[in-house]
Amino acid sequence: MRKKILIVDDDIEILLVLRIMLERKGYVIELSSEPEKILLPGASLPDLLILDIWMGNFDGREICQQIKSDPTTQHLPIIIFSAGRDMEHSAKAAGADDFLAKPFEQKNLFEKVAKYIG
Amino acid sequence: MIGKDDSPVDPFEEIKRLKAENDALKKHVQHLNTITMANADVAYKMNADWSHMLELNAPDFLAATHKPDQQWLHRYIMPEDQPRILLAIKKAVDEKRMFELEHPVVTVDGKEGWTLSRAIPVLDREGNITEWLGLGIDITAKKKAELDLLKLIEDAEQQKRLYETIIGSTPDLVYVFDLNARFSYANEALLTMWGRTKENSFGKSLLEIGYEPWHAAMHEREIEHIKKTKEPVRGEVAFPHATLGKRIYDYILVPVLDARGQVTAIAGTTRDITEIRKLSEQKDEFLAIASHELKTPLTSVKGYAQVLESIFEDRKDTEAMMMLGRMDKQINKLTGFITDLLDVTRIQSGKLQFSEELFDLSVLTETIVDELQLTTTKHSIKKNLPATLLLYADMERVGQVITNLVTNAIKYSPAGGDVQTSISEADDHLLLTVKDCGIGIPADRQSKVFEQFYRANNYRQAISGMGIGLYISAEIVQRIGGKIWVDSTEGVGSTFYVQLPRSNAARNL
Repeated sequence: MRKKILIVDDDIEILLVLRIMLERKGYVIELSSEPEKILLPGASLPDLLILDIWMGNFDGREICQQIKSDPTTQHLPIIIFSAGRDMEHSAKAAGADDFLAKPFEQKNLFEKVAKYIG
Repeated sequence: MIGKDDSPVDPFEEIKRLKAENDALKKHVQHLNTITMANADVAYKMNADWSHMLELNAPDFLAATHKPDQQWLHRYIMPEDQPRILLAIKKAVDEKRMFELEHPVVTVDGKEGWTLSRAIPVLDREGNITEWLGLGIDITAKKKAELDLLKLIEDAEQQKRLYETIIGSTPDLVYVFDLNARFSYANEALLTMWGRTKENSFGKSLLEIGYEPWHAAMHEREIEHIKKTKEPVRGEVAFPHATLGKRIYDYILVPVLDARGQVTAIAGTTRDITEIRKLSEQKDEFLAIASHELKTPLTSVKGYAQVLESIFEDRKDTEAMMMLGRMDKQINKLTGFITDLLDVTRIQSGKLQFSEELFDLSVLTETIVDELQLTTTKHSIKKNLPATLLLYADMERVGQVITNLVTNAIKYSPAGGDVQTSISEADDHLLLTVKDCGIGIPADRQSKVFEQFYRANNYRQAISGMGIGLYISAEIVQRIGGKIWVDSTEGVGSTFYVQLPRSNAARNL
């Protein structure tokens, strides 16, 4: 069964290019630019979440923290990615499994994704 | 003349009597002269209307006059003083009263002296002045001391006015505490801020002026500390201003010492840095946002370039792949510039962050060198690295330093050639060197290459750059506890050294 990745970012172009990259690798991609919707109860969980930090009124680190503190969702691997400088430390402090700085090397993205969902 | 009993006067007797009277008078005057000269430096005699000086004696002070002299005024008195003296003489002559005046004179050696001069008129039986007998005291030394003192006072007052103008007009707050932490001075700016006058402020404590208890206690502690140590105290404090809201102040308190080195007061200056701080924060925030906003479109551009490269790889279109590879490198360069700009502002505001992790310095160096080798065909980057060298530090920052040094080595050897990278280990440190055989740095500019925006070679057209790479590298190395320096010969090449403390090495982990 193909693994499903949910990518959340407020920049549409980044979402689109990530979908192309990861679909070419055979993953099922779901995109969202509405971070508030991913925490709705009963929403089906992806196998991996890729989360931006600065999204308008939302901070990806807070969303990450909520997911990681909920027993029903805390097993979900989360990669936080950001164009902000020096965000790795705070992202990991918020419970993120990994961090990717924007702009990123495709190779690094594939390695990190593969590390969590093969 | 009338005799005692109206009898005719014997002329011989009369002459005899007058002569005796005259002799007695002369004797009397001589006697008087002796007494008064004991206290006087000048003795003189003038005719009735002072048109002639009959005689003057003033040993070692004024030139003597022995016969009637009409030019005395010009001999003894300088032109500018003459009108004042003539006026005083006229008054004395008109009123037939004592002449008394302090005035300058020309001394025997032609210099300016001062005398206190007094002269009394000698009257005949009809009450007409026959001559004037005068005495003078040499008051040159006293007058000079008086004038010096006057000048000193004037100078001091001028200084005081000067300082008062400066201190009164500065927007900074200037004040003085006595040893009991009471205000003994506050400048206009501070009085205005308090909304108080000198009269109801001087002599008051901080609490009495209206400072919050914590704030008053803090400054009182500092004043005690200064009294004990004689060391200045500098600090920053934020508190609400009566009308301007919350303000941030930078202040410095210094001891005022007396001639014996004892603390007699504590002087302070305080500057409102709210606006500067706000601007600096706005600048930092702006750059952080600008950098984020610039990197966001770069992320998708780079993403599409990489996707395209993969597509052309599948189609085995090497020419298109090559072009996309070059495009990708340029995007990386642009990203690097944006990151560097942000780092510079972070360094300036002391906000450059460091994390620590365990990594292999050899592997990191090798990865960077291999990547940079792809950017040039003219240069051959050699590696002389230990098989493994674990380090506990901020890997990204260390990588930034290595990237910068190797990039510079390539950039500043435009003719190409070898770039040698090596890492050696010593007892207490590691030494990373990057050596090129490029254009080098003139001796007088070598110490400046680590300064912000400094570019050693004015090859602005030929070699691009913002002059911040080495500045950032130096800051990073220093923050890790290491040292960075350069050894260079113009036209021969440069070697950059980075020494990192052994404590960062974690070989035994």
